[in-house]
Amino acid sequence: MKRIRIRKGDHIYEGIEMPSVEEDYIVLKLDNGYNIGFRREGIDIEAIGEFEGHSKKIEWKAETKYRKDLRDVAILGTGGTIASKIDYTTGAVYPAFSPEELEAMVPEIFEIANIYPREIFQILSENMDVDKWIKIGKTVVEEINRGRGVVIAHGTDTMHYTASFLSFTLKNLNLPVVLTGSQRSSDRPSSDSKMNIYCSVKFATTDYNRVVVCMHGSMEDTFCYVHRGVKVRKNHTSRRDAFQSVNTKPVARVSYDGKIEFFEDLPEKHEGKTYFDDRIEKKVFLLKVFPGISPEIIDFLIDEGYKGIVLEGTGLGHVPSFLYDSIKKGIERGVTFCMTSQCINGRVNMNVYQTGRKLKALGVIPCEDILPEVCYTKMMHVLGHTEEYSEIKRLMRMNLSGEITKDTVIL
Amino acid sequence: MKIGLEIHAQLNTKKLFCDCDTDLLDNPTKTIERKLHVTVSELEEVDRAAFEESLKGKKHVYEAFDTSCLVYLDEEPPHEPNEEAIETVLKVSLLLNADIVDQIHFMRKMVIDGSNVSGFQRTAIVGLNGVVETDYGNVEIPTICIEEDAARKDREEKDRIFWKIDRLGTPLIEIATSPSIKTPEQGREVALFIGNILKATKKIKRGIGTIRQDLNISIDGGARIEIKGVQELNMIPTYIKEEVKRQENLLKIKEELEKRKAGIGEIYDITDLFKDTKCKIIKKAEKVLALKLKNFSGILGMEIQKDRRFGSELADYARKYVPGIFHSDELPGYGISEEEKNRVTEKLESDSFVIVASSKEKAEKALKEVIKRIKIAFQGVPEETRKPLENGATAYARPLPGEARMYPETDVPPYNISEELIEKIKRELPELPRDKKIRLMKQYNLNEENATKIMAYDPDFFEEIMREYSIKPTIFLKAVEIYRSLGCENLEDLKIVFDYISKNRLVKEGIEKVLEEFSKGNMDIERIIENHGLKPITESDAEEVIQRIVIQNRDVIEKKGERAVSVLMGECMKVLRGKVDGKIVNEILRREIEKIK
Repeated sequence: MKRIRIRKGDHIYEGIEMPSVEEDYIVLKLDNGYNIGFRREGIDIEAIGEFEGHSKKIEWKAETKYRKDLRDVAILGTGGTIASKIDYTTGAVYPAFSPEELEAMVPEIFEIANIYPREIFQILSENMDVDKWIKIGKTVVEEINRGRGVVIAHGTDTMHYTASFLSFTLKNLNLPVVLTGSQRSSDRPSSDSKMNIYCSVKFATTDYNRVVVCMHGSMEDTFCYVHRGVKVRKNHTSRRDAFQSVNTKPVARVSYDGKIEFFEDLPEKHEGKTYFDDRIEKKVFLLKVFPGISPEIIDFLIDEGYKGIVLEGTGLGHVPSFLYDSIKKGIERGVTFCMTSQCINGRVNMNVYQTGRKLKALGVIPCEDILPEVCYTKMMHVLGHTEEYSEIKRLMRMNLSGEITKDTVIL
Repeated sequence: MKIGLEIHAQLNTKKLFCDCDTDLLDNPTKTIERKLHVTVSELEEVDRAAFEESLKGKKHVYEAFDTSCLVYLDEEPPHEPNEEAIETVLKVSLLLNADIVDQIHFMRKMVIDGSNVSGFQRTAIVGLNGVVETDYGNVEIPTICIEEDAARKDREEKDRIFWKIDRLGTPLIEIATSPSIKTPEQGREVALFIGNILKATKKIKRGIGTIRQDLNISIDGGARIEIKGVQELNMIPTYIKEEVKRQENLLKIKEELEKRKAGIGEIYDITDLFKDTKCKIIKKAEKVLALKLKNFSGILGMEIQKDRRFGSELADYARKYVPGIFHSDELPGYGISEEEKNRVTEKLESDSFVIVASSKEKAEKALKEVIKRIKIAFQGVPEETRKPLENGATAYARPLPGEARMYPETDVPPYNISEELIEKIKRELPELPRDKKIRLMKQYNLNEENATKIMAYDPDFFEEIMREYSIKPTIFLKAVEIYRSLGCENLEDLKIVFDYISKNRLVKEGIEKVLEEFSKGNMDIERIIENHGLKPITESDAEEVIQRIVIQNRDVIEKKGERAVSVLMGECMKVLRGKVDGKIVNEILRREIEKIK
C-alpha cells in the first residue's frame, strides 16, 4: 500500500491510500486510524512512500501434543466467515486456517479433542456446487477412515444443502460429520463462531454417526442445537439462531460448558469402511410454484434435458391446473416430478383436494415432509441410481436418511 | 501544560443504524447473555485497553425492550445511517468553521468492556479543521465525528454485567479540540461555547448525561491522561487543576523514590500474623499477603490529589481483583492494631508494605497489579483513562486506548456528501450563539451578564416567554435560577408562573414560594397562592389602605409637605409589600397627599 499526501484547499492530509469502491473518490486512512474519502476532482495527490502493513503473521507456538485420552477431530475449511481473520487496515476478512490460527482463535477446542485442521477450498457458500460437494464428501471419507470425527466450517447460506447432500451420499458413516458456520463474522468480538466451533468439536467427539448442523440455539452465547442434516433449514437472514429443525426436534443440545444433552438415541454402528456414493444425477431442478407461473418454464426444463424436477408446491402440494399438460408431457418423456411444499412446515398431502389427486394420477410423487432443498439433493442421489419410475418412487417415498418422519409431532 | 477537550452530545434522533427510538426505558422484556472475545492472534494488534477488559472474562447480559430491534442486539447488519443525525453533525461542523469530508467512512472502534453488544463502536469523521474563537485565543477543532453511544450499565454481579440497550446506538456527536487550551478556565469556556453551538441546532438531547466532556491533560514530564465523562461544566477547571496537581506530585514521588533508592521486595504470606485480628476484611479472607517495599514510608500516604493518596492509585489497580488494599502509611487502622503492624514490619524487615486479604489467587493477582503500578511510579506518570470523582479528583479506570483498535465497518457503504447538501444545510444554519447573544442584549435591553446567563439556560425558551407573556427578563432569570437551584430541570413548569404574573394573579415576590412548592411536587398554583397569601390586591383595595395611612398621618403631611411622601411610603410598603407594585403605591400616595393639602 502507498502512503500519500493530499492537498485540498489550504489543508494537507497524510495517510495510507485505501481501496476505494467508487472511482471518483480516493480513500485515505489517516494516522489517527480513521478513513475519509476525497472527491478526486480539485485535489493534489502525491505519493510519499510505501506502507508495509500491520498484517504480521503471528507465530503462535501451538503445543498440540497428542493426548490419548481425547478423540481425534478433523476440521475442514471450505470458506465462509467462520474461520477468518481481519486485516485491521483494510477491514478485509481473510481465511485463517492453520493450526496456529485455530488455536489462537479457539484455544478451548484443543482441550477437548486432538485437532486436525485441513483446508479443502475457500469459497463463499453461495458459490457452492455439486462438484464441490463431491470434493467435500470425498475429503470427509478420508478423515473418517482415519478415525477422526469431522467438523466442516462452511458458509451459512447453503450449509443445509451441503448437509443434506452429504447425508445421502456418505455411506457407512461411523463418526459424526458436523457442519458449522458463523452468522456474525469472526473479526467481531461478539462473533458466534467461537461457540459454534467449540460446540461442534465437542459433538464431533461423540458416537452420533450422522451428518448434522451445529449452530447457536438462541440469540445467546449459552448453547448450540445440533440438527439432522436432512431436517434443518436456514430460517433467518441474520440471526445467530437462524438454523432450525423443521418438523422435528433437534438431535441434541450442546452447552457452552461442554455438556451434551441428546434428545434421541444414538444411531447404530455400521459395518465396514465409510465410503462416498458418487452415483449422482446433476440435472435436477428446484422449482418454486407461484400464481401466474408459466408452463413454458417446465417445457424449457424438459427440453434442456432435466431428469428431475422438485416442485415446491403451494399448500398441501398443489400447482395451477394449467401446468398439468406440461407435467404430463414431462413424465411421458421420463422426467420425475416430486412434490414438496413451500409452507416449509408440515407435510404434503395430495388426497385432500382434487388438484392433488389429479397430480398424483399424472405421476407426481408426494414427498411427505421432506424439505424442498433436501428433496433436491435426495433426487440427485436417487436418480443417480435408477431411471425406473417405480423404483424412483419407492426410494423417494422411503426414509433413506431421516428425511421423512412418519408423523409430524406437535413441537 | 496541554489541555484538550472531547465533547460528546447525544442527538435527539432515531438510532444511528436503525429506526428505533432513543428514549430511555424502564422495563426490559428480554435478556440476552453474551460473551465477548479477543483472540490471542490479535493480541499484538488488539489494543491494550480492550485486552485488559477481556481478561476479566465476564459475561454480559443485555436487557432489551419490546421496541428493540435486531440491529443493536448484533443480530442484523446495520441499516443505512440516520440522515437527520448526519445532517445535524454537518450543521455543527459548519458552525464550527470546519471542512466537511467528501465521503464519510464508518469505522469500527474496538470496545470490549461489553458496553457495545457487537464489541465495537461505529464512528466516522464528518468535519475537519474547525476552529473556536474564545476570549483566550483560538482553539482548533481537528475532528468532528459522528458515533454510537454505548449501552447503559445497569448493575454488576459476580461474573455478569447487566446492560440496558435502550441507549446503545443513540447518535453522538464528538467534538475534539487540539491540546491548545492553556488554562483551566479556558477549558470551561470552550466547553460552554461548543455546548451553546450544539444547543443551537435544537437536535441535542436534554437532561442529565446527554452532554459529556472528556478532558485530555498532560504536563511537562507527565503523561496524557483522559478524564472520561465529566458532566458538570463548572467542574472542568477543578478537574484540570487537580489532575495537574496529581501529575506534579507523581513526578515528585518519582524524584523522591530515586533519591531514597526505594525498591520493591517479595510477596509474603502473612496469614498467621493475623490470627486474632479485629479487622473484619482480614478475618473473612482465606489468605493475607504482603508486598514488601523498601523506603516507601510516607510516600504511600502522600496526598497527591484531593482526598487521594499514592496508596489510592495502587488500590485502583488492585481493584480488578479485590475491593481494596491496606498500606503501611494508613496503619494502624481499619481494625488492624499497632501490634499487628509491628509484627508485619518485623517479619518483612521493612516498615513499608502493602497488604491484600482475599483468596490466594486473587490476592496474588492484586499484588501483581500493585507491583505493576509501583514500577511505573519510578518512571513517572502512566497514560491512563480516569473517571471523574465528585470532589474534583479522579480514579484510574483503564489504560489509555491505543491506535490499533480501529478498522473499517464493511457493512456500511461510504456516505457521499454532495455540495448541494452542504449548500442546503448552510441555508438552514441556526443563528450562532455569539450573534444571538448580541441580538438578545439589544432587543431585550439586557446587560452582558444576564445575556450570558440566558444563553447558558435556553435562549429560545427565553424568547418564547418574552413573546407570550408580559414579564421582565429579570423576572425570567430570577425564576429560572430559583427553580434550578431547587434541583428542577423542567423549565416548562415555569410557564404557568409567568402566566400568573403577567395576568397579575400572582405577586412577583411570591415566585420563590410557588417554585419551592413546585419542587416538592405540589403543582397546584391556585392552592399555593391561596395558602400563602400571594394574591396581588387590587388597586382600589390598596387605595383604601393608603387613604387610611394618610389620614392617620395628617400631622406629618402638614409639617413636611411634599417630603412626607418618602416618610409615608415606608409606612405604606410595610403593609403592601409584595402585594402591589411599589410604583403604584407611590402614585396613589402622592395623589392622596395632594388631596389633603
